[in-house]
Amino acid sequence: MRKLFAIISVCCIICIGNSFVFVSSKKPTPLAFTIPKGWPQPVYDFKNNPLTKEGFELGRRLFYDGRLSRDGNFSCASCHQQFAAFSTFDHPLSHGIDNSFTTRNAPALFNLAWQKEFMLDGGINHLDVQPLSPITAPNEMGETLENILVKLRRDALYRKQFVAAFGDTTINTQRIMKALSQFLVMLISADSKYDRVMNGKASFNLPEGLGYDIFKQKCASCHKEPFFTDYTYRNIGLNMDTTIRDYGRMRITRNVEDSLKFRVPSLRNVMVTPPYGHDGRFYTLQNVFEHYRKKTPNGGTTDSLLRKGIPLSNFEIGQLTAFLSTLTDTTFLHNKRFALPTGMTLAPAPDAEMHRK
Amino acid sequence: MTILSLYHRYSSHLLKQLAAIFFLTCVLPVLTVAQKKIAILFVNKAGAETLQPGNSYMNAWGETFTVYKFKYYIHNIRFADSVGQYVTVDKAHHLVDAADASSTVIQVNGLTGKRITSIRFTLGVDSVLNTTGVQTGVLDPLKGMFWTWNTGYIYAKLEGKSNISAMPGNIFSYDVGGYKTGESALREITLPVTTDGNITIVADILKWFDSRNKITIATNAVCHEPGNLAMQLADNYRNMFHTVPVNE
Ligand code: HEC
Ligand code: HEC
Repeated sequence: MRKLFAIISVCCIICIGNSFVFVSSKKPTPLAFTIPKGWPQPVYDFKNNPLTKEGFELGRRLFYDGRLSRDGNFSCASCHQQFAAFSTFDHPLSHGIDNSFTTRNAPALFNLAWQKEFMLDGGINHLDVQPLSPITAPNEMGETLENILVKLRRDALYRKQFVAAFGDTTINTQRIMKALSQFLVMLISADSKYDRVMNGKASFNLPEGLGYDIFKQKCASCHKEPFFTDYTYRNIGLNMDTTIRDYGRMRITRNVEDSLKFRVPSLRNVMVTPPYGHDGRFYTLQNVFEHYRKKTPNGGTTDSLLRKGIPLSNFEIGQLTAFLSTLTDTTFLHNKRFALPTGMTLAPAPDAEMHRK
Repeated sequence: MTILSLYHRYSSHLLKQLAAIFFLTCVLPVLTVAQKKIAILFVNKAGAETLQPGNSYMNAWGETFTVYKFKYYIHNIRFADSVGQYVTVDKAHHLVDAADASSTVIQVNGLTGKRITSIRFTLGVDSVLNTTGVQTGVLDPLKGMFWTWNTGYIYAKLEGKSNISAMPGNIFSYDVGGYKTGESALREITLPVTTDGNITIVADILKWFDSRNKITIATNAVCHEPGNLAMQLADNYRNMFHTVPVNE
């Protein structure tokens, strides 16, 4: 009798406990990560964060949610817009909270699973910790992690989504970041005309083909295929903007030899990501070519490949431009899986209002 | 009166002797055979004074400063017996925070059948945990002990104000960390243990300024990244600990 009572009471305690920590009986649905043909293995550690449909959808919602910022207006997507390959369209620097500006041009986001270091200076060593930076930066989203936890835990739909993605109701920093990573690593851009040509499914027209040859000769040593970057940090001879005073990679390594070096950006989707350069000083590709064409007087840490400039005739520039256009991946830019989730509205664009001021 | 004082004099002597005999014959064997729980207590001080966030103190260079925050991560607690073999009794990370009394006590298992003669622990965060994404618990980045722009944990933090500081708001702020080769701020601490039960470890913030290196608020009010200054501070604060012997 006593034993029975004990068993019953233990059962009761477990039931009561369960109602607080709701455990999902349904397993999340695994999501396949497909490595494009000919590409190396990704560096992201999927064992530590297995991709699931539910995790991805949660990450997608977080990416578009303005509540990750202090005033509710600055979601990740406010600076990373899909139609601009998740860069900030038409802005040298992006708008942050309280009428602030970022100090760098927001990079496009794709193929992040192959990237070891993040930010233009490589200061961040893991994709999962990257969002901590924009979320807490006073010139980006200006929010605290504590506040975000409060907001998300209060939201019934988020509670449901966290259970679906991770098995129970725990909402913590780690899970938020893992969900965001699940969304971010799925942003694969590998279906441009260039890719289809490489896979034998299309062919370059004459200027594109000539442009590709020039590219391989003059650009590919840094903008290396298939990612169109070798992920190194280099100085292409840009003078420092004295209002920003950005020393690039040196800020992380504190090594003077890294002064004014920035990561080689990918050129995939380059047609939709103007302006260019780490501070967005080049409004057009033509401006970039003009820079490469001239001798770079800025000695010091300027890359040895660029000391004399890259000789480029107007003719070659035309062909290079034709080739670079083949790197636009419209499948990626219009992929509905990466777009604003249905039922969500984007926070009122901070832009329009700010530009009026 | 004389009887009483005589009684006092001899009784205390007698009691002490009895207690010693009792301890040696009965308590000690039991204590050393059973794996007992040991509390490690961190007592944060500034010189001889107990550290109280909000209070002011003076370093060896005559600089007066007010402390607002004093926190540090420790992990991998090991004990050695008289043979000198170190045994890990707690691998976990703990964040000791001068503003949170509950964070200053750590319960661990003692050594089975052996007397502890030395304690060793690591000040900082295991380097692997600096490079593998977001951690949970005391290592959750929301604890404010994490650099978001140059990934890595802040291993120890001493922050406050001082009129001597030329920084905006007269702040002084030492955030020390670094896991990469050539800039590691991880430090091993080894201390003698002379007590049989709980272990009290004093951490003296004045050592941050004056130990292996001379650090003044006037010349170095801020350390916000890994590097030389961080390593100098780490070399100083590795000496900030001492264990308290039995009757101190
Ligand atoms: C206010 C504009 C802004 C917001 C909001 C913003 N970002 Fe960014 N993002 C940037 C800028 C600018 C950079 C480049 C920063 C640098 O190099 O220091 C960047 C860099 C990144 C990178 C690194 C890319 C690379 O190639 O290294 C990732 C990933 C990223 N952001 C994701 C996010 C996520 C996720 C969020 C939301 C939590 C977010 N961003 C919010 C502007 C923003
Ligand atoms: C020595 C290495 C190197 C070579 C060679 C090189 N680049 Fe670059 N490129 C870079 C680096 C580094 C940056 C980023 C510089 C910065 O922002 O400070 C860059 C930036 C760019 C950008 C701006 C992209 C953006 O999103 O901001 C374009 C476009 C570009 N390069 C095209 C080319 C072309 C075309 C060639 C060949 C004619 C070429 N590059 C050759 C290293 C190189």
